Amino acid sequence: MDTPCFQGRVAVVTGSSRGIGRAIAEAFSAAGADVVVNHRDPSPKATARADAVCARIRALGRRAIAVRADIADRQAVHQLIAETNREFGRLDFLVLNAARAPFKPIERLLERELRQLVETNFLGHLFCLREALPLLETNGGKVVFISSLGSRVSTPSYPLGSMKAAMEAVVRDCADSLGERGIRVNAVCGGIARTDSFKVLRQVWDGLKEVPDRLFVEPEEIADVVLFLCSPAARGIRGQTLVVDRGLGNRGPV
Amino acid sequence: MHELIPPEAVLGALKKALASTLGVNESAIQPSSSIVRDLGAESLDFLDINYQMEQLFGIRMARHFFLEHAEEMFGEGSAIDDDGHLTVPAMALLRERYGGAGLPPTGESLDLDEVPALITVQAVVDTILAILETLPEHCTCGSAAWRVEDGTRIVCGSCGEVALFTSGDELTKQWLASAGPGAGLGQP
Repeated sequence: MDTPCFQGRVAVVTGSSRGIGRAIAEAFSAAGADVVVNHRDPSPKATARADAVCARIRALGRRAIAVRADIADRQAVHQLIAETNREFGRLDFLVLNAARAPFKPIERLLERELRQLVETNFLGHLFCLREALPLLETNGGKVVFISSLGSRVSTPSYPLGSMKAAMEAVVRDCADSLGERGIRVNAVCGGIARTDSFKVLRQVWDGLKEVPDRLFVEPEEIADVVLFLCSPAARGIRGQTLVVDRGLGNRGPV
Repeated sequence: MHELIPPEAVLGALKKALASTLGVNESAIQPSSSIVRDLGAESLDFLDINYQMEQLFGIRMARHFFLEHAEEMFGEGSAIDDDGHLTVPAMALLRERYGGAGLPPTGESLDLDEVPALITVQAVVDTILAILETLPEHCTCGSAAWRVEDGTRIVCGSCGEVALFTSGDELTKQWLASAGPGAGLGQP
């Protein structure tokens, strides 16, 4: 389904070789946009996964490139955006999706784990945002941060939640300052999806067994709302976090 | 050794899980196979395989590698240095836990990223057996009549409750508390 507001436009989706990021990358291409598929892991399997996402996008007649970059590395982020500009000459949509964190109670994290938590899941997003601003500004760009329920609900062994909460605050703050520059910034807070992260989550959170199937969100459901936020229909929405969790976050104790 | 579940049964179950998760032929899996190097597993595959073993045997595999526990128990930097290499005590512990296969000569260190390749099929079997070995003498109902259901689940022959084992993480911590100081790590 081609949508005029996405045709000929370009999206960068960080962490899009799998999971929710992959679904977002593919949703952009299905709507008509070209996509930069970013991933961190240099292993052959991870590279093959990113290439497979690109191949599916190209099969739809769109352009796609895979760019390996660790968003915690400012220089690598510079290259990610430079390569986007070199290949496509523009950037319209930046989706801050990449995440990386250990699953254990935050007070047990070692110093290097704490630093990595902040470097990837806070600084990394800001590196991407700042690096992309000149391109985004040119075309009235849209930025969407991918948050999770851990930003607002206590979740066992999920220190990432605190970074998600911090980023939701960043979204709130910079929606105004970047709005003046024609850039719209919002977030989508996803519920529990059966992605690779779920495999870890189910090991550290016994209560997950009690969550009924119907309350698991599909990555595509999150992707659809990301595209909505990037569309003109969402022009009045700024600095908001839309929760896409099938209502899981509204439930009281079971 | 209660031997309610023989080692061959654990090896057989693990081979099945590895074959289905990694898409390899069961006949190609040897006890000495490196799960990463020979069978092509990634870290997330370990989670899948562990999960299957947990469901099958009613156990709880370790969530964290022994080096992580060592750093928590003996202090940051005690097992992994600033460059991501294993310290001398950590190398000694690694030798004790994973034998000689794939280890560098004494005196040389390994990068943390190289460690997963040392984990063999047999090492995982041994881990599962060690957890199963923690079967309490008596069920909480007082009976000592354990029996095996479906070849893998140990249940009480009297009240029918499933057996509760020590978790993999707890076993690792117990091992580190005794082996760590001998390897040169401080008192926990």
